[in-house]
Amino acid sequence: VRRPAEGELGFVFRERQHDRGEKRVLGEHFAAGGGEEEGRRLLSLLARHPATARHLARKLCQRFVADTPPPGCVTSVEKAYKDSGGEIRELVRAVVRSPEFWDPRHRGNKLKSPLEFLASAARALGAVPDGELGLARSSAGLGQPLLLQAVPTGYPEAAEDWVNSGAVLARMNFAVALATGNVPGLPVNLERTLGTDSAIEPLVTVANGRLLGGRASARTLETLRSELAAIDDPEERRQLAVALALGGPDFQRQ
Amino acid sequence: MSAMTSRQTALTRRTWLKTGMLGVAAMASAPLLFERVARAERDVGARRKVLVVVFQRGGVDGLSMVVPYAESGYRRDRPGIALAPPGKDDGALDLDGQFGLHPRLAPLEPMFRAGELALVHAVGSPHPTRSHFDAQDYLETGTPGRHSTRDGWLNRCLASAPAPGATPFRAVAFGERLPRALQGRSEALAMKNLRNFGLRGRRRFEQRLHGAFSALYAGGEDPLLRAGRQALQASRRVRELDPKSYVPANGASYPEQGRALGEVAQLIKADVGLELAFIDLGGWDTHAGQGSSAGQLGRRLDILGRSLAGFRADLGEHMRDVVVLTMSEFGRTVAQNGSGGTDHGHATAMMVLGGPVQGGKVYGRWPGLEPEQRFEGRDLAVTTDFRDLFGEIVTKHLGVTDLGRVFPDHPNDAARSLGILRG
Repeated sequence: VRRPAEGELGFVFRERQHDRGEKRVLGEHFAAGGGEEEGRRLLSLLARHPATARHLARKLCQRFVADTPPPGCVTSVEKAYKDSGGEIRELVRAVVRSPEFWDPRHRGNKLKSPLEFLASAARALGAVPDGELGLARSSAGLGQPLLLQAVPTGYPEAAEDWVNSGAVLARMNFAVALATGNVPGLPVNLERTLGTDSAIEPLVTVANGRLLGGRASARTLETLRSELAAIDDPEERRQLAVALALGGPDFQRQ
Repeated sequence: MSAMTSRQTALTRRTWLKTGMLGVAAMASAPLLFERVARAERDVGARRKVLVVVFQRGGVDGLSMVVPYAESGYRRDRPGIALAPPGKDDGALDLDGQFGLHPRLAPLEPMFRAGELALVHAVGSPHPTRSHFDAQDYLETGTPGRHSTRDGWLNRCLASAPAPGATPFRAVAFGERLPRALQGRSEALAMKNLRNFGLRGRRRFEQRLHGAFSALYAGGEDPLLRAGRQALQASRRVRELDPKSYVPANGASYPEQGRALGEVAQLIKADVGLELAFIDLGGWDTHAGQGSSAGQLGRRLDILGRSLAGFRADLGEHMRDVVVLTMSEFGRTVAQNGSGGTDHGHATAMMVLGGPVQGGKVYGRWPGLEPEQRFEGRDLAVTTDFRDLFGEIVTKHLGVTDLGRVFPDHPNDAARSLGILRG
């Protein structure tokens, strides 16, 4: 598979790097002297393997339901894979039709990946990326360089792989930079997003509504109130509200 | 459950401050509290043992690091990538008449001669997997064959060794993410690097941000909140350390990709309470174009050798309390493949260096390279279970007393230890 950094995606056969020796994969014999057709045969062999159905079902459920995928959901998605021959629409349908998907215990429970954090912060502020690479660098700075995960398993889904002191600090720093207009490629207009009323109570209410989906914890609301009260300048007050809301713990969850 | 109790008895300065704010007078055990805090304060100044783990992620070719040049099979099965024997142009550096060091690791040769560097050959996991992900997982969880283990063996060491005074720097991993080896109940810090670690904002805002974020992340044992609190605490301390103005001692220098070791040296010298440091160094998965003395693998070993030699020179006297361990999830095939590289194998070689090391020796039983001596006919066989090596190091060096908790599925028989550390 071509590396995204090389500019194009897709399967490519490189004659010179091909190992022409005899091979055995999952009990299947590949005779010596094979070429590109071996790669195609291998991909098809992998796609039809029962472990693939199970593995992809687990990954989808982990992505959309919970870090520890509920077994019932995994089983339905696995079945959908086998029934549909791996049709992605059917798999996603099976996810959203599973009762586990709608279980309140699994709502707002997953941690955002750095990219999800960055994108949701931009959306919350109504900021429009300028389309240049500055924002991609921010994603890298947060721990998720786009399309550059070193290992072929892809970026991890579970919170334990994203939560650590350095990563949380990077999110706080990003939130502060974004609030003060210092994220390259992502200009913001806080007055437009949060309104012109910079009195404490209205500002806390609109920050909770616009940035935290109205789900801010009592601790967050209390901290916002007391911290904002110490700032007089209206624009600085808005900046602090945004920095704390986006860099605080509530915003880190999906 | 013993993890719980040791966590509870290990009183940190943070809990002290918190309970202090609530009013110590209200607490019946106040005198005991004072005594424990005093002890914790003393420990911060005491000589602390440090273990630095360098993870050669990707499966390093142990047969190129520590070259069995005297074996006929070595040259026969590796016609394009074998190192030349000692004495030949750019050949291996003879260690003991049987093994030689890769010439790009020459900066480490003086340490071997001085008895500060020991090598272990044919070391690895008893599990046969050749998948990076499984093998790395097993090497980091310390439970080969068991996928359900969530925490890492280094993290379990933290709970099983005597707790130091309160510090956010007891365990530090350099990299984007906290490695599995350090994930778990005990707190461990992750940072991309020391020099850029810290909460940043407009100068006059910074104090306010520190206070406000501390309030937002206060309370609760949720891992996210814990990580946030630890980050803010460490950020304050790093600002005092001023890592950007650090100058290595004794004229030491580090290659760009080895700068993390320089930052570990700085943390050791600053006496911030570091006990465990973890550094990821990738680029070892040499399936194609591995090269011999020069080439892909040679370039990586050059960085590793110069980094470790720089670290040793920089630390000077401090090295007496430091052990560095290199590890990798597996070695590579004995025979080179059709692309001038090697594929995922089984046993590899590891390095142990530092003051407490009984070095100048290649440890481990050598299994031989002939097909019938190999693992599954193709790879160097494992004769030293990595848990026996790691277990000896953490017992003797870090004072881990309950090895059964660190490596639960393993006999942890002291008779199987290599005797690689003094004491």
